[in-house]
Amino acid sequence: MSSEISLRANNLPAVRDNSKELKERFEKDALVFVNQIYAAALRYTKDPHDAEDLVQDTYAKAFTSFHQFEEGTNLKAWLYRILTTTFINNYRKDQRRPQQSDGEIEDWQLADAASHSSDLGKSAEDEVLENLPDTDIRNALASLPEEFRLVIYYSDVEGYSYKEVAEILDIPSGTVMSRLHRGRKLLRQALSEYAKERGFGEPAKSLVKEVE
Amino acid sequence: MAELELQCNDVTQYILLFIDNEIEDLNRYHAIEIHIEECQPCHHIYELELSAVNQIQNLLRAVCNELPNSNLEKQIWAQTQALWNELLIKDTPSTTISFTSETTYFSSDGISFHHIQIEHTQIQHYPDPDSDQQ
Repeated sequence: MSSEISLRANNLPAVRDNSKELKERFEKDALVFVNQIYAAALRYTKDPHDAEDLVQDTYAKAFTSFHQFEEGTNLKAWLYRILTTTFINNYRKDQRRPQQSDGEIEDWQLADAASHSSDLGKSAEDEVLENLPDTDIRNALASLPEEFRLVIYYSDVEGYSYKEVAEILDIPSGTVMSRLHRGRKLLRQALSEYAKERGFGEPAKSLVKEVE
Repeated sequence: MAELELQCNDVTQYILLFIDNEIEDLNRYHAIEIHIEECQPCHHIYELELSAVNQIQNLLRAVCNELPNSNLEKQIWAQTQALWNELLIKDTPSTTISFTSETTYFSSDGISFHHIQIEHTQIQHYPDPDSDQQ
């Protein structure tokens, strides 16, 4: 004598339909950003292989949290936010990073905003920077400390507002502002150094002197 | 003259925020806008700052577009599919229990016991991973 019973979750159809809809929406809406998330991930890891791992981890986390995403809000910014937390949790866990400049930077704020980079913004030098190879520009950005590099990336490449950058990086808006303004100056300095190394920094400077 | 200098000082203080379009106070925004139009030294600073910011943005935008290994997107599609299958297995286990023998007996206090033997337990996958691959 043999009988058979099946124990089955009675909410199966709902689970299946919801998650299928969720999965399809994720594939349609989130996967189009893979290349952009990768370009951002490179600013965090610097290394292409690590950046790909970071993007995969970010998408895994994003998919399993996708039910929490509020439809109608900015999906790409939401993915960038997850990118940031994934980077901090997975890639920086064991690195003891001295938070050296944080407090200091908080204090710059408006005072820093008031000091200008125009002393570096002479037109002859502008032209010199235009001639730099792509790798120099990427390396100059990569050479900046992380806190400046990421703020510059989200503000100046992605075009996010201070408030949006603040949310992506989980820092105050005032900090975004001071890091952005300071970071741009550091970046111009780094770019000028590359131009000098290439040998076309100096002619530009003497040209400026002649003009003045 | 003192008043003008104070105003120039205000303007230079906010010029980077102005360029970044981060001045929320509309009155202040328009005051700066008008001042920059009318004041030559401030206009000059504004132009230099604006061109410096634009240049940084243009340089970076032109090079920060590296493409991943061509398989990355495929890998993420596959990863999403695998995670989804895992999620469903976790969420909707289905266990089939076969009774090969039944022994029913009653204890002295009237509680009945069924003795069952589990022949096999099978977890069914929803969806069948083989049938739902893209």
